[in-house]
Amino acid sequence: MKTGFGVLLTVCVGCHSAADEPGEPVLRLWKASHGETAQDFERVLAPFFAQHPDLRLEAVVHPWQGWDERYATAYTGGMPPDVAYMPDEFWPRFAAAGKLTALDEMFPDQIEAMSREYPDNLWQLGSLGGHQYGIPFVYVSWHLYYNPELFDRAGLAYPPATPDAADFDGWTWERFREVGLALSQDLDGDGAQDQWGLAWSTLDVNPNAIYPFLWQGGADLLDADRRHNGFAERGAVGFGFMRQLARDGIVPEDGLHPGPSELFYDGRAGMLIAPESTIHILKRDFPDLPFGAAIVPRGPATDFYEGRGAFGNSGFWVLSQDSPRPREAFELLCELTSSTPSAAMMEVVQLFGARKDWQAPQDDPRLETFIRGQRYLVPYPLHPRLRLVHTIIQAEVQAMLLDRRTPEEAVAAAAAAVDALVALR
Amino acid sequence: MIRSDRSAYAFLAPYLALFTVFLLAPVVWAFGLSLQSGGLLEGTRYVGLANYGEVWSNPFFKTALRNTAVYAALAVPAAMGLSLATALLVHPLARWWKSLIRVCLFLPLISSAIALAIIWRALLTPGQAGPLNWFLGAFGLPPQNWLGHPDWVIPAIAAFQVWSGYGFWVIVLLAGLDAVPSQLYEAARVDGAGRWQLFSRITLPMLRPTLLFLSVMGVIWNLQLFDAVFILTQGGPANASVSVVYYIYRGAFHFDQLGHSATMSVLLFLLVMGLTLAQMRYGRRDEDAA
Repeated sequence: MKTGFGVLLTVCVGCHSAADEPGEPVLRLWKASHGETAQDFERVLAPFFAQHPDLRLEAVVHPWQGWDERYATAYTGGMPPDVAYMPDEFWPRFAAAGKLTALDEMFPDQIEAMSREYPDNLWQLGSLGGHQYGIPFVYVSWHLYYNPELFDRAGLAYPPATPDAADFDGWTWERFREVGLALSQDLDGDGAQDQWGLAWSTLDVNPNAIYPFLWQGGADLLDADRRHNGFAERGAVGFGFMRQLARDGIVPEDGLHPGPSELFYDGRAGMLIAPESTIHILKRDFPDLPFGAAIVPRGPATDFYEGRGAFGNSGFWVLSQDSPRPREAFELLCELTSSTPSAAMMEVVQLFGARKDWQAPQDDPRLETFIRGQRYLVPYPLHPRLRLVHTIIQAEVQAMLLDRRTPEEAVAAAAAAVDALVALR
Repeated sequence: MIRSDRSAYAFLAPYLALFTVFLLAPVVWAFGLSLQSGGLLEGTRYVGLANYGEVWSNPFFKTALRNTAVYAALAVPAAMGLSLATALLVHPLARWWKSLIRVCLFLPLISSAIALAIIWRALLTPGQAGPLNWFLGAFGLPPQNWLGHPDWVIPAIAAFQVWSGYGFWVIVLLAGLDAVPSQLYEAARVDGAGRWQLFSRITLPMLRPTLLFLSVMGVIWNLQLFDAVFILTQGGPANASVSVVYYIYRGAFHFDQLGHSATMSVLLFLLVMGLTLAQMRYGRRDEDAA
């Protein structure tokens, strides 16, 4: 019997990864994929490891699906990556649980110097409770795409590409709705609609196309002190507008389409709210699809991002509290976020770099919309449970679109659930 | 005699060790976790039986429980009926055809659930462009938003469940049909039995143990429904497709409420065990009566 257990133990030890040995000079880096591979990191970081021949890189690039269980179990099990990439709605949960290194405490001088290399608003998104946990890497900017062919066919002027455009002030919810109605058509006359104004749905895992309507109505997800919801008072304006878009038939399937982007890609929807990286996807995968980029329309709010709140967030590199080599891991983090390597990675992932010295690509004039539209980007409020707020708001918007609740009832239900969530200990 | 007992335990030991480590210990551990609050990252603290009291007042758990019961109520009889019909059709065929059909039916079981779900998402595309809606349109039926409407999302996922497990059910039933002695049919035919009498008086009673096994497994699998919900709908729209296991998963990994999730896991375990025992007792009672 003892021999049997001995054999079992030997097999288990044999299966144990060499990289897990405490003495092994390995730096583990994890990132959910934006299209890059582990080899891209190995290539970009090769000069760093040439200078540190005693260290080895173990880069893991994985899908976004299953992110929570992958990271929660790794950090809880005491085997986290030394350096990990986490967007701003992900990392506060880990920082609040004491799993990430407060970089300003451990490396105060370096962090002070690094802070000058980033725009203040992005740098602040890496900070929680007065401590800096994340170094910004990318920022994401969501605006509007449109299909000029469908606009031409409907005799519509294109929406404004930048704030300098002549018709910028007139690009309001009212105009947006008129345009959406004109684009929503039954082209073959069979009595069923086959073209829509906006390829939009609340069933998308990503809520980033829902929130702009909330923000443009003057509401936010949480209040300034992050202790309560931020939409109980003014959220019904945005909720009501989303219901209006569904009832008008401007969005497919009453805002409950499981894959609305496909309609834009197929040339059956006039507009789409999406990030800047979609430009490259469209050019690569749909070379025959004509498209333009425009700023999101203005809602009734005037005191919150001029009523043009659009989604924007940032992704950060963080350092594990349990890293056996914190100094080396921090050096790797510094290298990764420094000018040349981060610019090289931006070329691979086709996202915008967070550094002040990052040069936006000039190869496509449509990118100008996302660069000039930065002033309207609303970041998520930092909170350890923010992603659960998404689940709550999405479910209530869906209940409203299914006519189970009025906009006011949906907002009240979501507000009560969010308040209970943020108060939860 | 004593030596013989020892050698029996020695042969059983590898299985018992694995059973203890991978099945029994997690169940005991889950029960321990159900007495605590908190989560993976935040840490846990002992709260006694408080979670068991709270879980019954949780409306989402009740929704998930109701949804799961509907999934099982739709999927198990549908799978049973379809696979029995298929097995009866395939069984008389020549061996070569039978083998080919077995392989085809088994393919979904060895395919990636993600790939299957992507295919189903495409099939269930809403509007007239969706293949299923296009097919139904040929019969004058209106298009449906299969995965986006609460009335259709559970039947759509149940259909996916039936389809993905259908091959296994048919293969087990074919094996059951092979085991029915042909002399019984011959004797009945000599006595003048018709096709319906052969089916109802010989085939069905002889398949009873197989059907009992499949119904028990079907109920267990469908009460543990997770991957189809996770891949196809993420519980939407408006939580209309949330299953108990998906809710347990979301609670543990998204809401960081490991104790609550463990409590629901224990309750689900008790429910599955209770239903299984009831099914087995019912099946045995029928066997005894026969």
